[in-house]
Amino acid sequence: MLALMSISVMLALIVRRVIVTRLEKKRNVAKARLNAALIRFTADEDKEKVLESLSDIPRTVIADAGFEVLALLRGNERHMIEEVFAQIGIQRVIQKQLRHGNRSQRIFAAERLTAFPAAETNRALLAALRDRSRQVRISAAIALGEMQALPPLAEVMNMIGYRGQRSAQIVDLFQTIAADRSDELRSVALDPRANVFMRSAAMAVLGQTGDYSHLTFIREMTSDDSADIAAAAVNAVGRLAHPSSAPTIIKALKHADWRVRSEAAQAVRLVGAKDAMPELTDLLDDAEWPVRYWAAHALHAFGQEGIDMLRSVAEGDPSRSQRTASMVMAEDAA
Amino acid sequence: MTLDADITAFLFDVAFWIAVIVMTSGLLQTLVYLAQLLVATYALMRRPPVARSSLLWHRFADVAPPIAIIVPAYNEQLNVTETVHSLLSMEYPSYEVIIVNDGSKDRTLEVLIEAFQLRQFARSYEEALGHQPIRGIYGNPTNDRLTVVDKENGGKADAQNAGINVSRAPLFCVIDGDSILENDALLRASQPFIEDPERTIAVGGTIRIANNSTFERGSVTEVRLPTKLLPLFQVIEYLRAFLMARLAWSRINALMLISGAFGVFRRGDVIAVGGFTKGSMGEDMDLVLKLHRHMKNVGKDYRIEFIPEPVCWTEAPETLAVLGRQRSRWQRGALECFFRYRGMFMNPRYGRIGLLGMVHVFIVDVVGPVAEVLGYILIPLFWYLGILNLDFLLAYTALVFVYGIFVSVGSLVLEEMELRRFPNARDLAILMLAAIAENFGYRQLNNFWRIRGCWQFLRQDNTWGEMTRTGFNSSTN
Repeated sequence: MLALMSISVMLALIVRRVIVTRLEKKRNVAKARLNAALIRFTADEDKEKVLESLSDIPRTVIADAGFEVLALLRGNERHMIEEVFAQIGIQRVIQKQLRHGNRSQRIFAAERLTAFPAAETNRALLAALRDRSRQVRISAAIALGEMQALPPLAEVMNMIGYRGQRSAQIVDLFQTIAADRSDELRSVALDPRANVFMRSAAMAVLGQTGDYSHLTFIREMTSDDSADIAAAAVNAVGRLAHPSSAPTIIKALKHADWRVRSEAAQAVRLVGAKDAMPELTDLLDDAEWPVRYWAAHALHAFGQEGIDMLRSVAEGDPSRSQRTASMVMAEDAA
Repeated sequence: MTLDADITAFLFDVAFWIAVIVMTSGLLQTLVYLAQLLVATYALMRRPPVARSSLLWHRFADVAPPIAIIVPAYNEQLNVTETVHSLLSMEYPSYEVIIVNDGSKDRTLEVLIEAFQLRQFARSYEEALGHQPIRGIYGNPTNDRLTVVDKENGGKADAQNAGINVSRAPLFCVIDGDSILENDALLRASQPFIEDPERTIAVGGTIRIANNSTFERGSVTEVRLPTKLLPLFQVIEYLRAFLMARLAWSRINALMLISGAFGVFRRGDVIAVGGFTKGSMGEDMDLVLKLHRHMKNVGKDYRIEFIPEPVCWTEAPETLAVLGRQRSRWQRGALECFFRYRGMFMNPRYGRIGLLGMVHVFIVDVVGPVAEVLGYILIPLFWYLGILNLDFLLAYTALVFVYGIFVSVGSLVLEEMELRRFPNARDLAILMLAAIAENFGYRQLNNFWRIRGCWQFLRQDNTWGEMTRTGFNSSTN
């Protein structure tokens, strides 16, 4: 009975496949017509003609495949097509998908809605911050951030929830507000109740801004009790690459946690802390390979003086330092 | 006379109880498969439809962690160039390819040097895991994405450990030298590491059979079903193994195996457990069990996931001899892992791994093949001798064949409902017939090979066996 049941279901699925294949063929024809019309429009800029071409193409096909074309375009061409899409009401199709689609469609809908900046779009995305899927909530937050319509960050992070706050996509979200709302990122980085992952992400994004006004704050964070936060802060100091950060980095080279030492060994040449050569030489014997490796590379990057130091260690008695120095010397010479 | 009657009665009793044990074991196995099918159905229904890879790129390119793809290669001169071409054309923002030539006796290294214009160079690496000495490291001066490590022969696990040492990325992906990854496989496999970076330590993807499909410069250009019967049956087997079993176990965070042909791991955690176990016949299962044990012992929250979307293509054996050797080896691997980690069996300290995963291995891999083969021989014999009645024989036949068909066709139903990866309706019809037919002969043969594996395990026979390759079909040929 069970076997017969499974075979019957399979036979039904085979029939379904035949029907679906035919429908897909039709959809592909519509997609090809859409692509041709949009490409023609970017060349002749004839709005009447493109509107006429799009009139008999299903809106769902335009809302889906149209954005594949859009992803390839920038500047005026992209803007022209976005206007045409807005004129034929594609944003309403997408908003409907954001409310009623499956999870994949809802995520994609949130991403596409950034093409239609309007109060109506913002409302739809704000509602999506309460979606049952955390990935949809994150995508909606990123879209709102890109449209500079993100509610207060603390509020948004609460809505994103416990697991969502631990997604690497949080970095994307933070980047959307890094330029204008860095004070909120600082609050996240400082918040002892926030999870370490989120705090580190906030720190990393502050480091990517290239804004020296964050230097003092980030340097202070290199002394945080959490090694994860301290390591992220040292990384951010390195990214900002300001020479005045040398003492902070040299101090971090002696940190008890190897992850902080490793970040410091990478940051040391970015801030040009040549005074760190004795500490770096000591780190050639560190118990952790990444620390030894980056310390040796930092020495090599300091030019002749550092290379001489490495060579003297490499020519010494066999030891962990000697092996690290000789391996990195050989690698950098290649 | 009385004594004879007593002996006969006793023999009847013994035979009856053997039959009961065989039946119970078969029933347990069937229940396990049915449960897997149900959980896998639930898991697939909960999974969102798959996003296009272009969308994934847009979504994850900035936050995707770097990955080192490690490919152990032993006598792979026929396929290795195709494999490397495939790997160099992956859609992933930050990755490197490390081919580890494990002392091949053929021209694997020379083929690579010629095809990719490699030169020997110095590269420093961490000596975190032990392995046979490295003879040289090669790279292309104009392309830093490919590195070839030439080392003395030490076996697959040894080569993988060398690759892990040489790699620098926080994640590494292991694939077999005769396999081809789909272009977006890394992007898809990295998704759990992006969405849940703190907990995810390993992710496995799907293995599909490449026989008769066409490849061009490392990418699949036309998916076709194998024309030969043995690879066709293996398509069904792989569907059952990946879509049903692994998805189900992954759903309850008790995945016991990530195939050595395609898995992504967090490097630091693998180093913490000592890397792949050298000389192991089931080094892939061994690593996953070690990771479970380690994470449970240190009390860390973690996830080892299987996701069906990323696909790795591999060439399936086409002859009985090669397939038999492969299956015996897999059986030895499973037994070896079960007995090596027997401390976890039914041990509540290891949660679902000890109470579900290890029990599953015990039922399906330790007891399963022996009980099933005994059943094939003894149940009809006992019926013939009049020890068992016809109802018993029919019940056993139903158990073996009817549920077998249900589970095989059920996996295919699941595939078509949720993933639809076979290109046309005709393929589905062929696969459905294969899913029915494999229960008559092929399944029994498989159990025979597994019994041979059990015997080899008991005799401590650790020979690997040669795999004869025909190479991937190329549309340019």
